[in-house]
Amino acid sequence: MDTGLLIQVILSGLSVGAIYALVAVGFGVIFNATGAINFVQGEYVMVGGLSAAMLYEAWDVPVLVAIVAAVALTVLLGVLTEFGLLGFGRLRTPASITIATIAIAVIIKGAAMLISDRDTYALPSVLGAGSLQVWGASTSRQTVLNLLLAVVAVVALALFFQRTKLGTTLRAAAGDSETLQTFGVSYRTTARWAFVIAAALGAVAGAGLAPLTVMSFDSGTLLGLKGFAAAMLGGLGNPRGALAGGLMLGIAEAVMSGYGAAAYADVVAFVVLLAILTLRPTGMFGTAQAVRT
Amino acid sequence: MSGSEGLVVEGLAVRYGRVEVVHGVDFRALPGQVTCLVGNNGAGKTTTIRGVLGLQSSRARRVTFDGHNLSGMPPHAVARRGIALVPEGRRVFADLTVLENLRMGAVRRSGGWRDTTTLGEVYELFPELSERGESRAGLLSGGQQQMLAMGRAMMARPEMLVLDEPSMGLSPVLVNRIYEALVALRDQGFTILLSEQNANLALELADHAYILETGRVVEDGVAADLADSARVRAIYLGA
Repeated sequence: MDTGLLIQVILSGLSVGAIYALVAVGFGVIFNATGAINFVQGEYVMVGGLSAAMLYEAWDVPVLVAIVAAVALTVLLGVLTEFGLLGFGRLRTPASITIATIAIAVIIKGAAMLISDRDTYALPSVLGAGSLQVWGASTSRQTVLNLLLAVVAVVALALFFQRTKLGTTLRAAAGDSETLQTFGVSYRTTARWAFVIAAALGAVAGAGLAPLTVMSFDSGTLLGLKGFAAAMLGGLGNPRGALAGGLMLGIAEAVMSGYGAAAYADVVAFVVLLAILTLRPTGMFGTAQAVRT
Repeated sequence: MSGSEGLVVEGLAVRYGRVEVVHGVDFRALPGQVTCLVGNNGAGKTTTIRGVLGLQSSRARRVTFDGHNLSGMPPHAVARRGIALVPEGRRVFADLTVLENLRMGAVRRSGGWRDTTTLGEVYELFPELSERGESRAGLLSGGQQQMLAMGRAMMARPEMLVLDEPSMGLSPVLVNRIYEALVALRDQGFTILLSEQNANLALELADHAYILETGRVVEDGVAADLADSARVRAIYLGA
């Protein structure tokens, strides 16, 4: 057995898995606040990655500045998503909100297609192009950065939820948003913050992904679905589960590419999703909860 | 006068879907008094309260609190007028600690998050809670959860406390404990609106009471006088 190849496969799996994990955490944050699945999540990754790359390539903006601007733009898009979904007071059930997120995802993707004119853009790594040697395998610096990014994001988010007033309020909203409203906190306020956090996570994922691949207007959809699979794998609404689910899905895909057929790598996520939904719908780290209707 | 007339409800009708379950209820909760809605399970007590607080969409000729219109307002806006709810079934935030639950009661009040004065008052009234500040609320007993829900509402420093069936599902010993706390709150001058199936205790505590049957007020009066009425005895016997 070639250990160099194995380590290579695992490293590449972890770096892509870190991106899935960030997307999965975003799904969970919005699910906790609204009960809905936000299918715009993948588009946040696309907007974050594509706008950073476009700013860098087309407008010569320095890489770090481009990333910060891209995150800000994506967060704004998150706020607009919340307004589009809940601002008109028409959508009241998680199911109707979920369906509407699909529409918003299509609109964002369409707008990105027009703005980018279907071109692809690339972003260099903030750490430069050099590679690292890890136990005889060579990997890009960006790979390691992405893994760090995902771990830091999950730890920071966990601290935010445990230690801050806003984080505690969001946990209370996840538990019983109606009762929280009777203490003067509007549903819109908690939902808006959830979208801000989810969009920021998506944008960071996009900025981390862009140096590993090229970005185009349709980079988001498949990523969104894979992130959703990772979220289901780890248990929706559980950040640590999302991290584990994302990393496992990334490794499973890399193993398929490295040892099986690379052409089928994309299928792995959906086989995992199907298996989880059939065998353990609460996710590996989730627990079943009674829902009062 | 408009500054201190308490809660005035006139012609409140609440429906679930197409079915109207509260049909034009009138009542008042005067400042500094305990007002009680008494009735059997299904009489419309909870629905009336939910309608007043904006948790259920409703129609009314008038719902005002200290002169401010509440009709058609969302629940968070009603809460900001100074009304705090101790909901039916307690509904503590199960995944939050006891202390976090109490802080959520004060979340909208400026400085409420670090307010140790009101927290001290809650702990004084319910010493059981102070010993369990770091426990997850979901792990508390039913009686402790009821105390927590009451403490959480106190943390909002409300003009009016609304308690929906505070004795539901509790042992007689704990019901007495909860009512002792309510007496203490009444003596502190809190305006209290109470819904209760347990008519005896509620009428002992209350100044004024309204008897609800199938979504209508069928009788009202000074609580002490109502205690002997045939209707109240029927409720007490579960008839």
